[in-house]
Amino acid sequence: MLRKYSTHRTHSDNMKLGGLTAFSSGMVNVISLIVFFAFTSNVTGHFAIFAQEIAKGNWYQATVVLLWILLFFLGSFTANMLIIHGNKYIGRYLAHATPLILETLCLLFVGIYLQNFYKETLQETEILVALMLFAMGLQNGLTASISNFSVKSTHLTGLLTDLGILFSMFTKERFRADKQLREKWQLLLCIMTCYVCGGIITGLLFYSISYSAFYIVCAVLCVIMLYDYYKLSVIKYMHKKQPLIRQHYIIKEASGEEKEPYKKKMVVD
Amino acid sequence: MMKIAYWYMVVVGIALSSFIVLSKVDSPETLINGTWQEVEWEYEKVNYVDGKKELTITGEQKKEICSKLVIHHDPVWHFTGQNRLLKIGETGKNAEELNWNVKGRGHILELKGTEGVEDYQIVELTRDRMVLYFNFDLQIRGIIKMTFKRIG
Repeated sequence: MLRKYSTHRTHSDNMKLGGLTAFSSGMVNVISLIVFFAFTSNVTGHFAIFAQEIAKGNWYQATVVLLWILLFFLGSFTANMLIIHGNKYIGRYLAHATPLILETLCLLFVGIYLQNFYKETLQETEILVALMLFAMGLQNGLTASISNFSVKSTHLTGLLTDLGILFSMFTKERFRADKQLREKWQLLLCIMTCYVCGGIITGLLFYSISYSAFYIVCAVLCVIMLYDYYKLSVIKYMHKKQPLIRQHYIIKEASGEEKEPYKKKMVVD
Repeated sequence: MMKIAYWYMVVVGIALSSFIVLSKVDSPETLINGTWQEVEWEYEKVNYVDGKKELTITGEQKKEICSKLVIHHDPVWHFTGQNRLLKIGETGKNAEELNWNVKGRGHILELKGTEGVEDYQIVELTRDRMVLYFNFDLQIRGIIKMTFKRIG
């Protein structure tokens, strides 16, 4: 899900990554809306608000919104910097996982702060929203970067545009028969459904579990990180200790249970 | 390469200027402190009565709206620095005491009392004037616009 890059990724990799990250960003967005009255997983609205506040002469509010937008940008920038520069030093898996680790730490900090120290001042609100926007920027930057811009899981504007286009294309038989287009349609639907589900579940749960909802988001992010860690551990184990199991695994792969890029790599090994 | 460097400098410049602006301009949390007198209540959107525009809320309507609110109709609101809101009734006596917080980007005023929590949208907040919107969905049409002037 995380360690594969660009065209080496399979449809299933993108579905898993898109679904899980969209679920977490849907949750984060609803929590921030309930607690802080601000959206944190998308910035399109913030641009409109920024312009409106300038027009009204509210320089303080306009500046706060501008900084929030910059924090989202910084998150995306940081994620891609880690991916393109970290690859060489810490390996691909860790370079791809580091933005998610940072995101988890940011959201964990927000959750713990809200539960134990939050006095509901405006300054605290502004800083915590900024942290959440940075976390969402990290997530969006990571998913977009490693999936060759196929997966963007924190907002639905572009996604709905693509879905609209695809739906219109599917009125023609030759587009319906196109496997790539069908896979893209599945991916977009999966992201949208997970995003909405994350939001609804949080909306339902928040009034009973309150700020603990942040721990659920962190748990989802940990699943993404540990999924690949587990897979890598299994591969390493099979390579080093168990040639028979390895052989069995290669046969399983050859029978089509694993996806193409990974299969090729294993057979060559 | 030089052109790209300029763009990096622009981004850093915007961030630094933003911090300077934030340190120089009063935040809504600071601006709201003080004593405010209610000037008028009206509908934010135009209400048509017998084909004529009607924005003003009558005394009876005001009473009906207020009966369902945490905030009862008190003409003077005194915001203290300790996030306490003292509401002073028409007789000049303290009507009630609530907690207040400003949230969002400084555009939401949250009032907490024993009867519950209410959120008002801060539409305008200057040294002299404060305009709050309250969305109330009884049979009242539209958003209620509450205007205050600073008296202390």
